[in-house]
This record gives sequence, structure tokens and C-alpha cells, in this order.
Amino acid sequence: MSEVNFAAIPQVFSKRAETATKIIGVLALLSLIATVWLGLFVTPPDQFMGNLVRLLYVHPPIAWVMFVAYGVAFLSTLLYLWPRTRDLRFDRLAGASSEVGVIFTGLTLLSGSIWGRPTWGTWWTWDPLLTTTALLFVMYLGYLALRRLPGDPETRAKRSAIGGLVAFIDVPIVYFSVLWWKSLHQAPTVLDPVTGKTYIHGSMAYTLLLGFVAFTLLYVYFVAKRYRLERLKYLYDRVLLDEAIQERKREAADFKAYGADKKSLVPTAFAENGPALGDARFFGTEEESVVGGGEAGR
Amino acid sequence: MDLIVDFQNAVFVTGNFPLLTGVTMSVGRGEIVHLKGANGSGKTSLLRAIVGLIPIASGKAVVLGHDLNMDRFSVREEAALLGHKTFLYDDLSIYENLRFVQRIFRKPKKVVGLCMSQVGIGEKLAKTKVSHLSAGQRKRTSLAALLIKEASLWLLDEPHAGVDEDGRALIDGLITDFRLRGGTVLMASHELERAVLVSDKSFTVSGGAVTDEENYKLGNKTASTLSLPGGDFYSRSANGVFSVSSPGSGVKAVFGGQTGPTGTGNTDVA
Amino acid sequence: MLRDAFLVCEKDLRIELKSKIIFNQVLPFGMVVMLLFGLAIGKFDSNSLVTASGSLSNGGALKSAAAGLFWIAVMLSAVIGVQRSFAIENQDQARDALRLSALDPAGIFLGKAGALLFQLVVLEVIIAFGAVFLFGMHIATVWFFCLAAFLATLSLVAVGVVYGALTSGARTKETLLPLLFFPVIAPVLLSATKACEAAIAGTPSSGMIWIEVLLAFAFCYLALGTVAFGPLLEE
Repeated sequence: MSEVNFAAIPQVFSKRAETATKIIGVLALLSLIATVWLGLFVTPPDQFMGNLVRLLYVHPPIAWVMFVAYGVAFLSTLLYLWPRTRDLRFDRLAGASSEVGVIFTGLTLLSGSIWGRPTWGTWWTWDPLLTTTALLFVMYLGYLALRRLPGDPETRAKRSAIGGLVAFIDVPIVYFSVLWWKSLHQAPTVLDPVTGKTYIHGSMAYTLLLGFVAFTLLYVYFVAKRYRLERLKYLYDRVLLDEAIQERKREAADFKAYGADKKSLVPTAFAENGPALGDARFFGTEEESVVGGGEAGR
Repeated sequence: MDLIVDFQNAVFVTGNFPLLTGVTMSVGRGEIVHLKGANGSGKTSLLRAIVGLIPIASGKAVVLGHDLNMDRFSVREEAALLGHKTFLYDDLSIYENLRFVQRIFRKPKKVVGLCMSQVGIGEKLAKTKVSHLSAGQRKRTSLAALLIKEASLWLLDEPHAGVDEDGRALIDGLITDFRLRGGTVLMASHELERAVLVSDKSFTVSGGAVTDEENYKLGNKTASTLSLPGGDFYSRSANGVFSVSSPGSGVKAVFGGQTGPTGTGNTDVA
Repeated sequence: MLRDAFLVCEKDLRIELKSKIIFNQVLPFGMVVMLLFGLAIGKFDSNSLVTASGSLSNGGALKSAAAGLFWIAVMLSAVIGVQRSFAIENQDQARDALRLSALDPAGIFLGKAGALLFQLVVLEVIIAFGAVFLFGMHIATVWFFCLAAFLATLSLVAVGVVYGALTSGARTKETLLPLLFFPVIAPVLLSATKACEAAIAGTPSSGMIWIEVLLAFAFCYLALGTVAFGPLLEE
């Protein structure tokens, strides 16, 4: 297992799509570098916020990617649940997109906090948007944990789809309940980072725009990679399954060959010499022992 | 013959493990089939697959006229499974468990008492919590549940395991009785001698497939007799003819032999 | 469907009547949680007792947070209740029996939810008395409190049974269920607390909006559970 035979890895995307993914990856990297350079060195500090304004080139794009990611995940969940478009591809897309979404949710919260400390004087405030985002973060962490539960692909997909739906329905309810909660308390309205920047123009606007482009490209690249990995995992599982089927079929054939005399189910070579080293049936994998216990438990 | 179970190269998979790797078999109405095979060969999976608890991956599987590829729910209502596990609620008494079953299947209330007496559960025992029961008593309880369902196909997973001699005779009697009423049975059992006695044929399961079929009727097994609850006798002659007789009224029903069921197989025995 | 629901509900309640797990284990757990709240934030009460008027029942932090603490105690108990509800089906593979019974999955969902609802409502009454007794909670508008509690419990139960079924097949169900359950019921906690605060203050009209949130929540998840329970049972 130490050496990977790259030639044996099956192709998931077409050649053209593979190339496109690579180009997107390179573009994402370049535009990120450009954003950092523009944001840190070219653009001037804001007259009110000073150097803090530089976070502006990062935080809104990250939050935007978060919304895109969950939006894509929700849509593909719906497409999976809809019987006519039921396809494991949508399940994979939902998984890939929400995984990237969770990472960007974490980054949104983090960059928001870093922004909030000097601006509002606190790391955290119970603003509807913030609270909803935080709950979204833990909710989708749970969703990812749910996705990792074992099972065959169809079962897992169905389970994840229902789990994802439960979580997604919750998002607007959380948002509005927190909104009303705050408005009933007459809480001081928090300065929205996006509407607060009335003085954006020139190089700042371009940098922000570039930030959006860069992070969106990064999102697409991540999702494509993640999707590919999920697909490969699926294919790998299929190969394992085929091997397992062949293994069991050999078991049946062995029985026919040796078991006909009803004396012993054990092949003679085995009876005389014991199991050959490397015979997976005896020095088997963990799955096999699971299977042995599994059947009795079932 | 009317096929109750018809599998053609049926594959059943769970997760990454092939439970059944291509089963081809057919069971006709009124047949009692004995499933043989080592532990882990797939007997339990086969029974669970037949009753529609495992999704089919490929191949053809028709049970009681329902194609499992299309619908594996209808068969659940018409077949009954006696599992390794007894499917009982530990905190309820035997009677309460059986009442739940009876109400699920919309049977008259008196069926519960009837079935309990058939499996030898007395009134006092019926009030015992299931968690206090022995393995044999649990088995009897789930047998009663099986009877309440009044299914036309029984799938019995190791019915003889963990049961005393009386209990085994009772199970064999119930199977024989069920066959008299036209029922079909698939039974996984390691108790070869008992199984041979009540079965028509055997399938050998290994590696998740049916690898061998043996017809007990044609084999030169020795004659044997089995006493049924209620004083009847169930016997098997060397040529594979089954008959049920009572000391009072003589032979009640005969079937088997090389010609197939002879006449009275489906008549109701009083 | 309703007949099936009734059957399953009655069965679950009968099992509780026999085993008394909820009564003997979950209820005391709820009380322990209430006591722990008192220990964790009750010291602010005694401060106020020394400095202010000196009246015992006129507590500070505990009393003002009573509704929220009550609901946290209920939710912690609810998650255990959900686990118990599915432990019943997992003992001796009774879940397979349910699948083989050809009962309507929607009926099974409603039945399990109904049984859990009943048990939780009883539990809440007792915990509420605990809150009155320990935290000095005084409910001015009792009917409004009951209405809010009922709707909130309905929501808890609907989500709980869906997630309970979703995780009950997994080996890691004990750890996964709370992770899934608590974030989703956050709006229930919020709305129920606010509505109950309105009831405590005796101003039902100000809590009406929270009743609406609870209604919407309960409706969404009951509908989802009724539709989705079939596939969930099939794992």
C-alpha cells in the first residue's frame, strides 16, 4: 500500500473536465495571491477603519462562498430526493459542497470575530446573522458526521438527504426567531460590514471584486476535487465488493469441490499444511471478522 | 408447480459485503425446505432476503408472486420470519407481546389464547415479563407470534436451537401441521436428523449461494415416526411418503413419495 | 395510519408503564440538572439576598433565568427520552418486527412521537413544579405557559423521533444524536423560553409571535417526519 499506482486510478472526469479543474485551481491560486497583494500593499488604509479595512477583501467573499456552498448542497439534496432526478451524483455533490461550506463557515466566523473585536469591541455578539451562522456551523458538522456513518451508498445517500433537509429547513426558522428575539430586546443594531463601507471606490472596489472571484474559484476547485475523491471512494468500494463477491463465490466452489464427500469443508491442502500465508480468507481483513459477527447479530 | 420462492442469480449486498452472491433456487407451494450450511454461509441472509428485509442488488427474485425488485413490502405481510432474535419487547409480558402482534395483524382476540396453548404457554407463564424468560420460552413465544400472523410462508432460522426435546417435537409438529394446511417452509437448521424428518428437500448454502440440492424423498432414509401434540403420529417411510395418523381414526393424510402430494395434502384435518 | 399510530403509541406507553425507565431515570436526571443550575448560578441569588430586601423568594439570576433553565432541563431530558424510545425498538431487533409488521411508517412515526409527547408533558409538569419550588418561578398566566410548553414539546418530539430513527441503526448513536438534535432545536429553545417568560410576566399578547414560531416549527417537522419515516426505517 505504500506505493500508489497512479496509472491505475480510474478516470472520474473527462480529459477536458480534468484540464478545466486544473486551470481553475491555478486561476484560484493566482487570483488569491493577487488579492493578498492588492489588499495588503496596494490599497490605501480606510480613513475611519484604518488597516482593518483590509479584512473587508476577505470576509465578505468567504461568507459569500458559504452561502453558495450551502445553496448548492441544498439544491442537490432536493434533486437527489426528487425521484426523477435521483442519482448518487447529486448526493456526492451535496456532500462535497457542504464539506467545503463547513470550512468556509468556520472561516467566516473566525474572520468576523477578528473584525468584530476592534470594531465593536467584542469577539462575539448575539446578532441574528452571527447566531444563525454559528448554529449553521454546528448543524452541518452534525450533517457531516451523519454522512460518515457506514452503510451502502443508497442508504447513506437517503439518510444524509433527510438529515440535510432537517437541517436546512431549520435555517430560516433560526434566522427569524433570533431576529425577533433581538428586535424585541431593542438590541443595538450591529454595523453590517457590507453596508458600512460607503467609501469604497477605486482600487478598493477592484480588490473586493477580485476577492469574490478568487474565493469562488477556490470553492469550485475544492468541490471538484472533493467530488472526484468521493467518486473514487465509491469506485474503490465497488472493486472491494466485487472482490468480496468473487471471494465468496470461490468459497462456494470450494465447497462443491471438496465438500461433496461431506467429510470436510476444508480443502486438503489446508488440512495438511494449514493456511497459506497471504491467503486473505485466513489472514483476513477486519471486514471479514465483522462479517462473521455481523451475521449472527443480524 | 406453483412457485412460492423463485430466485434467479439474485445478489444481495449490504454496505461493502455481499450477503448473497447469486442465489438460484425455487421452492414450490407446500414444500418444506431445509437449508444447510456452515456458520456465515448466508442462511440467515437468505431468509431475511426472502422476507424482503434486504434490498436486492441484481438478479431476479419473486416471492409469493411479488417481485422483490419492484416491491419488497407486500411480501412482509404474507410471510413470517422466526429469527435468531425473537423480536420481542423485553419489558412486556408474553401475553402483551402477543396481543400487540394480534392487533397489528387484525386477528380476533381469541387467537392469542389459542396460539399460546398450541405452543404450550400456560396462563401463569403468559403473565411473565419476556426478560425473565429462558431462551426456550422466548422461542415458544415467538412461535406463537408466528402462528398469530397466519402467514402462508414460514422462514425459520434455527428453530431447533436452544430448545428442549419437547420444544423440538413441538416445532416439528407445528411444521407438519402447517404443511397439512398447505403451508410452505424454509428452515435453516443444524439439527440434521430432525430437519431431515420433516423436510422434503434440502438446499446447501455456502459462500452466499445455493450450491447443492438434495431431495430427501428420493434418498434412502430410514423410516421414522414423530409424535405430534394431541396424540397424533407423523411418520415417514423409507420411500419418502409422509403420513399423519391418530391412534383413534387411523391415517389422516398422506403425501410425498415420488408422485408428489397425493390427494389429501391440502384437506383440512379436523 | 391513525390506527397504527394508536397501536404503537399504546405499546410504547405500556412498556414505560412496566419498565418505568422515564420515571425512574430520566425524571430524576431532570431534577439533578435543575439542582446543578442552582449550584452554578444560584450564588448570585444569595448575594442579592444579603444586599437587597432580604426576601428569600425574591431571587435574582435564577428567577430571571427560570424559563430558560426549565427548557434546558427539558431538552436534556428529551434527548434521553428519544434514545430510550429507540432503545426499545433495538432490543432483540424489535425494529425488524416493526418492519415485518407492515404497519404504516407514518403511523409508527406518529405513534412513537405521541408516546414520547405524553411522557415529556408529564415530565415537564414535574420539572415545572421544581422550577417554581427551587427557582421561585411564578407563572402569572398558566394557560399560556401550558400552551407554549405543549407546542414546544410537540416540536421537540417531532425532530427527536426523526433523528432518533436516523441514528438508531448506528453504533455511535449515543454521541451523534445530541450533536444533530441540539442545534436544530435551538429556535424551539428560544421561542419556548420567550413564550414562557411572557406567561410568567402575565403578558400573553407579547408572546404570541413565539407561539407562531413554535407552531410553524412543529408543523414543518411533523410533516417531514410523516413523509420521511418510511425510508428511515428501511436502513
